[in-house]
Amino acid sequence: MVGTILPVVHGGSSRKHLGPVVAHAVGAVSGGVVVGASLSLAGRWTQHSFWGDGQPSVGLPILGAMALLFAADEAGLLRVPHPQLHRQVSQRRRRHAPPTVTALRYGVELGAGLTTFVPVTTFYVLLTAVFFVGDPVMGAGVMAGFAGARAAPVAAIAIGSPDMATATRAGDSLLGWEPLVHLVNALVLAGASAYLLTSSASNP
Amino acid sequence: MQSVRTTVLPSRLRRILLLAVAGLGGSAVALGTSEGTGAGLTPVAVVLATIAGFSALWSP
Repeated sequence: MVGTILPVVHGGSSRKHLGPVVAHAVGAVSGGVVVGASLSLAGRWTQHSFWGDGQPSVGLPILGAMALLFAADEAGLLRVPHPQLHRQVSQRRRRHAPPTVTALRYGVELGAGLTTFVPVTTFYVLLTAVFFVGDPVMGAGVMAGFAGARAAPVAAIAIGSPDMATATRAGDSLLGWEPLVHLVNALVLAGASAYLLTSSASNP
Repeated sequence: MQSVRTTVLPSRLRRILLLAVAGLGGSAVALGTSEGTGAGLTPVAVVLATIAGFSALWSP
């Protein structure tokens, strides 16, 4: 992702690339907010339809089991299907649109996260958690956090690099850490799973 | 061409043990807090959002 997005948000000089960096961040947070609010709204409606106002804590055990499964997947202990769309901003649009508009489109797609590659399965558990939160404002906030965390490192590399070569080197240096990233995700998912399952058992 | 240093993962057994330790930590946090169902879900979602967002940097 870094290799594709950096040329878009990095315009060359430090003044030039501030516009695309801001557009990318704004687009990302907007995409995250829309997905988070919609998903939580759908979750609220579904839970209300099935269980009424006195809804049981059905989300906790479902999420707990899901997080455990994906923790094992991230740790490389078993393989679970990773459904995903691989669509990206088209090459034609990328070439013909101004850098700020392209960065905005990238931001929206990456912030929403539904139409791009899913590098870690934590994302599936996150979407399910947002669904079960059932509060559109909270859901929007959580997904805005996801989008912000996704856009911030790209912005930091773009702003902190005086030229494109430096930015590319910084992006490339991250690649070797990928196995560790999956292990950290596995540990976070295992912790979340135990937290959710224990909470579920204590709040029947 | 620049060479990329790749991190080496622990063995299968050590990964299982690490997951078990993380699980114990998660259970301890849950038992140490007296939150209701709704309040319990949101902090988990926030943690997952942060880690999933940063990890997306390694997307192809």
